[in-house]
Amino acid sequence: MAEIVVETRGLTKVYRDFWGRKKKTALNALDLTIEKGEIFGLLGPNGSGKTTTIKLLLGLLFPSGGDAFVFGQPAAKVEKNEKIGYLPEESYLYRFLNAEETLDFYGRLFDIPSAVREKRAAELIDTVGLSNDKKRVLREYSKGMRQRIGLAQALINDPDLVILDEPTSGLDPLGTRWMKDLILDLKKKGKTILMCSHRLDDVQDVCDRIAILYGGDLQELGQVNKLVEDQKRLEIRATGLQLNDGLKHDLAAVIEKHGGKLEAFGHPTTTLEDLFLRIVDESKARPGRRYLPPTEEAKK
Amino acid sequence: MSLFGILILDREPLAFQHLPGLIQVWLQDAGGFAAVGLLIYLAHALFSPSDQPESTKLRMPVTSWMLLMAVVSLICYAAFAAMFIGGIGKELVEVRSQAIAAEATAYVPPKLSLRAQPVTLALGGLFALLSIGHPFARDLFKLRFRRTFAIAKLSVKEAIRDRLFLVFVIFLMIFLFPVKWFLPNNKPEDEIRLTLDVTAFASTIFLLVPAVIVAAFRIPNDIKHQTIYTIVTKPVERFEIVLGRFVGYSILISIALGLMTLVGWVYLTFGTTFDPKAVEESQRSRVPLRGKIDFRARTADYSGTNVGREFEYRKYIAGSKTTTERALWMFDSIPANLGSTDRDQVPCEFTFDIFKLTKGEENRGVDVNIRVTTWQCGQRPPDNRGEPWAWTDATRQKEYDKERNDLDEKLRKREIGGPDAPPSLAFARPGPNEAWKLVDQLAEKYGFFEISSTEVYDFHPATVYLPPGLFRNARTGTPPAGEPRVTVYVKCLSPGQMLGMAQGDLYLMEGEKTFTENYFKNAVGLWCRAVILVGISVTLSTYLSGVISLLASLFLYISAYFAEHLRDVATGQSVGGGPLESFKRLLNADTPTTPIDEGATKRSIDIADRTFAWVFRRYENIVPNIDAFTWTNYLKEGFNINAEYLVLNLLILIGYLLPWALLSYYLIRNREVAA
Repeated sequence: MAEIVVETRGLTKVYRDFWGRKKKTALNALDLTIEKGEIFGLLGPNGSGKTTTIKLLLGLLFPSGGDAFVFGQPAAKVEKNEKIGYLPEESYLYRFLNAEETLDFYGRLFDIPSAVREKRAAELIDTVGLSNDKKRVLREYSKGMRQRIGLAQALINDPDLVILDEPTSGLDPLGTRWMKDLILDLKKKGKTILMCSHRLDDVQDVCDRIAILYGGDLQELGQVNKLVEDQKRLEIRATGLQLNDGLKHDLAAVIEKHGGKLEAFGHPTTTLEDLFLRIVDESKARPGRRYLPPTEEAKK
Repeated sequence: MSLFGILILDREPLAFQHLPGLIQVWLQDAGGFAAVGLLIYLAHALFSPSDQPESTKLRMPVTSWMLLMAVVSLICYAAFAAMFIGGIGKELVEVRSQAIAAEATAYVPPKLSLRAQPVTLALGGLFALLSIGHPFARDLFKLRFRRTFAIAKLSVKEAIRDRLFLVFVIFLMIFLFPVKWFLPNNKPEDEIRLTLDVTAFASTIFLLVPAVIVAAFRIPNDIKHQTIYTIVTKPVERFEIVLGRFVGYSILISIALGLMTLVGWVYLTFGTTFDPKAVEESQRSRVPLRGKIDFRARTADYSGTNVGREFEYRKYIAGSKTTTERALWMFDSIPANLGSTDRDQVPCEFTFDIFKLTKGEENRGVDVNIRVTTWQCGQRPPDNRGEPWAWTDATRQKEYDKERNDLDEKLRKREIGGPDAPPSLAFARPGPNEAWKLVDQLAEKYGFFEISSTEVYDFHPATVYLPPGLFRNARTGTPPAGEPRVTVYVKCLSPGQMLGMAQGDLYLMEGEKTFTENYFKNAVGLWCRAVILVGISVTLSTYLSGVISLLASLFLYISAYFAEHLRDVATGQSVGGGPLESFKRLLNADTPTTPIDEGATKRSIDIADRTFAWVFRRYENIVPNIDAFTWTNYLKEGFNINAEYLVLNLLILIGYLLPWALLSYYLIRNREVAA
């Protein structure tokens, strides 16, 4: 049985006013386990309880009921944070520090010795692609750059569990892809990743399992592949053929013979992200204008 | 006689001898607050549902030690309550501050009392502190220097990069320009005094204001801007955040103060614009040796006369040639350097208050007799009116009188003392002369020296010079228990005049230190005040918003400047009564001394005012003793700031900040930073 990294038992969070009157149940009796080495995604619309769950796991909020355990230790225990790396939704870092100072500061909070700290900071700055901007203070950074340095600070302690709150927020498609690749790379290194995101395609691309929350309640939990699989439909892919009516007719006949019905027939589409990345890669390889406006003839 | 300033002490400077009393009072005060906190904490922890999350139990632990100490504390408080109601083992008020019981409003350092009530109350407080402080003490071992220092460094960088401190330091430089440019109509000798006053005031404002602003706003801002998320999700003890911020701002104010002090010192030391008189008066650092005062006369119950002045700090002795009233200063220990053979005199400086019963002689002061004896030359008051004080050993007195008379005779005949010898030993003046050597030898042999008459003026400093031989005699052998080594007896000779004295009014000059050392010591006082303010602000900011923390800290700090008035209200001694009685007088346009008619109204007002007084007493307990950290008077009058006083005040600082640290520990620990 795989090692359990995160576990919640009936985890509940109720927000109350000054007089103790109930305002809102942000999370209701959440039971969840995340195993070592998996990428787990929390999905849900705004106010569904995703961020509340993360905050409860990190001890930023205190549970109203139930409990949360990380590496088998209660969430209130500070020691558990030794093995956690956390990237908040917005990169809430001190903007008067530069990248080097930022990583040095967070490295000190982990009580990392000076030599190790310096080496790791340099490596991370390089990994997140900020080597040329490491002396600039963070207030001069773009949102994407801040997200990158935010991720670097989350990895300064070489954590076993990485918690990412909206990791691709503010990143351009290139950055998004870089982030997703990095998450997959972390998984390869044996890290456990818990992430929540609004961007469903991102979650689908990288997550092994997901939990869908709505109104503080857990609505769905399982393997991404299984959950998105449409058991009522069948997909056939083929290469070396051209679209024509004959082929369509023959295929429809075969499908009907087996009791089915042909719904769609045509070329599959790629994702917009793939298209964008392909164009950028090609432009890098061959600089210069690529798009040519259609001729009058073509317009007609 | 060189000119020098007057250091008027309105209170006894604290000394190590006050430490046991201070600790007892601290245990009562801090322990009392701890007991209330403990009660709330335990009620919350124990009466919450038993199926609390593991995290909650970790956050609000209740250990067996806590419970045990809480029970013992409760027993102590119950015992105190029983004794209080039964009137057993009183004297509680004596320990707190004798000012409460006495008519005097001046602060009197607390004394250790071993009576049942104060001891039980202190024990109750001690056990309450041991109980509530247990999780705090346990978590202190988890603190790591690297983490705390990282947060401290961050705080310093943040304040420096915000340029807030820089602006204030630049503003401060304005105050270093010669004071006479701004205040031209002052006496030249006051120039350094005024400069010190102005720079002390400016430093206080320009140091404390930015310090309190950064301290009050940073933690709330971290929470508001959510930067705290990236800190508390690291293996950081929450108290490390508070401690780191506190240490950071303390470092910051140390840097700023160090800079200000250095610039100020360079200006004062190398500035050539000062009047020489000012330099002579203020750029000194006299080291006084202070004794304990007592008043004695023929009657056993004499303790000085109260002349009815509003401020009761001084007591008075009546003047007459035959009076038996004496003010005594007793010195229990005598440093070796006073009796050194290298020196030819020991100055004894004094400043007395004259209360005139008759007009006296115009342009003339009051004549005073000063007798200085060692423990080997005991003195006793006469049994009958009009007789002089005598030696306890009459034979020895006769020997002294004979030897002295013989020497005077020889001096008169010029047989000794050389050609410039004075006609009598009474006229011998300190210096390398034969006559003074004889005085010194006589003092060393008998442990006795007397100045038959010297003139003093109202609040005008004066000096008499004592032979060092006297102190060599005092240091020989061991005096009986309770006997001082040296006693100075002061007698007022002028009829119809009364001489007012307090403990700080007379002292022996032990030596002189450098002005530089004193100047930097003075900066420590300001540093202590700034640290207090930062400590309060940081603690409050763990729970309150920035603005509220700022206002609350300033309110608490500024109210310390009204400590005397607070004490009056707290002890029910304010003229015109408590808040409600005063309000009634305002409405009725009554004078403060008009008696209020007996009746239900008066009874209601009395009850309400007593309640107010109780609340004020509690409030007084949390107000910092700012006065104890204001040492500019010592500096500007050219008196050394005693190292003992400095160390003791640093201990007081720690004692004051410790309960605040405990409070901040619980506040930050139980705060949901993401709520």
